[in-house]
Amino acid sequence: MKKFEGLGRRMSDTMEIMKVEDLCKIYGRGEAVVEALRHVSFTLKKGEFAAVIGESGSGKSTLLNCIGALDEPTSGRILLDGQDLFAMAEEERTIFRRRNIGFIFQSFYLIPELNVEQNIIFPLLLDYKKPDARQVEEILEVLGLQERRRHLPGQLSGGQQQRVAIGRALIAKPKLILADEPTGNLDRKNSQEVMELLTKASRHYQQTILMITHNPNLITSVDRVMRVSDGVLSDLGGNVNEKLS
Amino acid sequence: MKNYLNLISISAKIHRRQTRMTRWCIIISVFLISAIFGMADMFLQSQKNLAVMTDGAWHVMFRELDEEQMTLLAARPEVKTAVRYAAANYKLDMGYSVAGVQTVLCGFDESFFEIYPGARLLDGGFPREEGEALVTESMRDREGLCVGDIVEVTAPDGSLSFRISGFVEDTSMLLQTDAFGVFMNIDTYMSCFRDVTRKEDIAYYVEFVPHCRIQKAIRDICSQLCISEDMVSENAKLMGSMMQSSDNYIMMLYLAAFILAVLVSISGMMMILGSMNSNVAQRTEFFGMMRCLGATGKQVRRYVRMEALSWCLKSIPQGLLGSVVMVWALCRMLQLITPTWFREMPAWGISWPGMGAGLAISLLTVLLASRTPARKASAVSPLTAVSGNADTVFAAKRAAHTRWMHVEMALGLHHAAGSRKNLILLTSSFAFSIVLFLGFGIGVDFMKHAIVSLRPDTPDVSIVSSENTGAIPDSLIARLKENPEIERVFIRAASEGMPDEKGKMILDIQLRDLSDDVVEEIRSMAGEGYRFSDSRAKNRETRAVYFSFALFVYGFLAVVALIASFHIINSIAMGAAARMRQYGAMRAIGISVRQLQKMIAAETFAYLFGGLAEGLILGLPIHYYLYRWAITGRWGDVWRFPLPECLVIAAVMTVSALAAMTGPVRKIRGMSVVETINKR
Repeated sequence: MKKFEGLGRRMSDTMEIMKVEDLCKIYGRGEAVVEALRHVSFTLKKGEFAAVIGESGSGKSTLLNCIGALDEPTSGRILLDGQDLFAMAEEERTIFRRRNIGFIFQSFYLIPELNVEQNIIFPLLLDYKKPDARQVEEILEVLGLQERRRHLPGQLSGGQQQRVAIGRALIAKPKLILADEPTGNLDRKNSQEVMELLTKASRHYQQTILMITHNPNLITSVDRVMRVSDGVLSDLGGNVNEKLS
Repeated sequence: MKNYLNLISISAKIHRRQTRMTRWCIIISVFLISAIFGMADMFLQSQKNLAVMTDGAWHVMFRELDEEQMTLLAARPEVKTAVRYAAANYKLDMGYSVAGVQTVLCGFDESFFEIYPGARLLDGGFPREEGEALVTESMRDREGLCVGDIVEVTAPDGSLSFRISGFVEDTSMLLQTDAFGVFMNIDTYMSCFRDVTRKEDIAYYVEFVPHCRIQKAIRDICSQLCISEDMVSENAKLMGSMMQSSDNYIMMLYLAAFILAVLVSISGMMMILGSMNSNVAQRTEFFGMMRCLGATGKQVRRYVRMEALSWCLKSIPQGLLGSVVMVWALCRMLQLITPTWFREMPAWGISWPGMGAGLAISLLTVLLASRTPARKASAVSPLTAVSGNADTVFAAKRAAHTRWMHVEMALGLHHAAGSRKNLILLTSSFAFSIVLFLGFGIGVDFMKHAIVSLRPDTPDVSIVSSENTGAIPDSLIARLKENPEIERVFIRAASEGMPDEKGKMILDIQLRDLSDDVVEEIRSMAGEGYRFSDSRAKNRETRAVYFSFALFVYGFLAVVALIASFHIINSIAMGAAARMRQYGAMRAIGISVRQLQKMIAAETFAYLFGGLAEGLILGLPIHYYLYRWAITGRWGDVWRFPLPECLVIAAVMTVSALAAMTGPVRKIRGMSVVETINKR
């Protein structure tokens, strides 16, 4: 696999790319009410690779869905590059989301009718933009999918499918990539490869990534770890292994 | 819960909304199938009714039989009623008259009234004694006659007197020709008019017992009694409506209608099949999970089949009920608009053939239709269920073409055309509706040719001036026009053989009030010297025939259009429902609702245009050959491109396609992306 050399952008340590302010999400009513997120606030800097860990049902997926504007919070604000996601109209938010947020899902969610290359450039196609052939070539090379560019998702292994999903998340150079248990459906070797790719993307593209996982082994290479427990977020900082132990 | 099959009722309660579409599909298919057969049944009944009223309940008429042949024929077990009949001056060309009015003379047995319910005895009794006669209502009214009076018939060579035993209703023919009728028993008739009666005007009418194989009976009678087959005539309309006609054309017409009805049933079957397939396909993971938990393939198959039966249990009676209500409504319409002609139609009748067809076909379809999904369900790999990849790796065999069009359009077209089998199935089923519509459309052409509808200028009564009286005076025309009961008066020059003749010869009058009083008033206004033609009865007859035929022909067309419409709506909705999770995933990646809408539109219109093209390619040759056979062969009209039919069905299908899209689009608009992609 090719390194990300030459693709890198200048990193600005201080540039705040995302700000979550006092985020609450409540499901249900009356006695069945569930507070999935309680007054969550944090910021992410440009190029930061952060992980959110937590037990199943702790609220980490809810947090990711709200940040990705897939789910609407009950209260609070999410600012991406200074823009309030939920102050926009639905159509505007969708367009903003596909230009500024890349998604990597546990179940990949590739379009079965599109081949590897088409799946990668899908966000650009939705924007009616002509993809830069050099950039596409570079991503295919980095992901090790050049040979399989004409393959359909059904003809790929799980690890390859997830690599396509990473390529799709990177192609539009979004301000933020959200990865929801990206290795949840993969074996150990493929999980390792995917994590390497994400880390490289973060380092060399200075791509901001927020990943949620319940696997403590995956967070060794991230810059910062946060934990969600019963809807409350606590920042564990950068020196993860020490704090987790 | 005692048995794993109890899960069916539990699941039905929880997934009520998911299975609603399938249940509706069964209800509507059952409704359409039993409605079309019920309508066909009622159509035959109504046509039989009409035939009995207009032409009589006799099945066969024999000519030139001697006494012995008649006696032997009447004694046969398959003969229910046999009536001797003879007539003179039927064409008003033999010079018989009463009080200067041309008079038709008839003789028949008393049972004539049984086989001719259209001729009703109004007063008095049948002329059993020699020298007695029945006279028509118009003669009674115009001559002021009572039962017991003597009526004198002027003959070319003298006159004959009859004592009036009663009165009968005028027939439409007598009213139109303004003639009187004198009817007597056959013995009296023969003693008076045997010598002047033409051979072809002496007949022996036979009504067979119910469920008799009439063609066979005729052959037997002819061979055993030595009767030439040329001497036998059928009551074509009645025999046709009983499916017993020897007329190949009529029988082929009924055969064509039957084939079309079978095709409609197939269409309904395809609808149920598609719906059940899609329902099971959407629950692949559920069946995989059952397999995971240890259910055998056989158990899954049984589960799917029992589930299908449980849907039938509620849906079939609902569909049947709908069809019963529809048949009731049609019968009520017939009776309300033409009460005299369809009084024999059952008001709350149930068409057992329709119900039977609906029940049998739908039950069979559901059981057969559940075989494929049951097999598919039982073949689901347990791995598919647990891997969560059931949705992401299905169907696509080649990539969509995104180079030449927007990605959402390319994906929409690919959804339609990606699976060739699916495309062929759907477009063929749409095409099938077009073929059916064009096929049934021939019924409209047939109706227009076979049944002459009333023209807008058809008169209710006409006043015709004779050669002696010359033109009708303007003063009479003015007086008629002033009469409030008269709608319109048309002045027409009689041009038969006299193209240059000037002067007003015929007054065609359309009435507001169709009562006898008004007609009598007009007759007295016109005074003597004019021939009067009363077409009201004839018009009523024509209207009844046309209306009853039109009601069913357009009814069939409406059912076919409904099938096409519902099939499109159902197929699109099913397809979209099956892809809902994929749409959810696309929404997560960043596709907008508008783009998804375009994607669904591209898919829908690909099916629609494919179906339309296929339907026209298949339907037009069928229409051409059917037309050539049913219309050109009979009336000589050259085939024309059925543009109105094509436009109507294309419009129905396009509107249905647009309507079909609204459901999925509404769902997508209200979709929770998170819930959709996390749904198992």
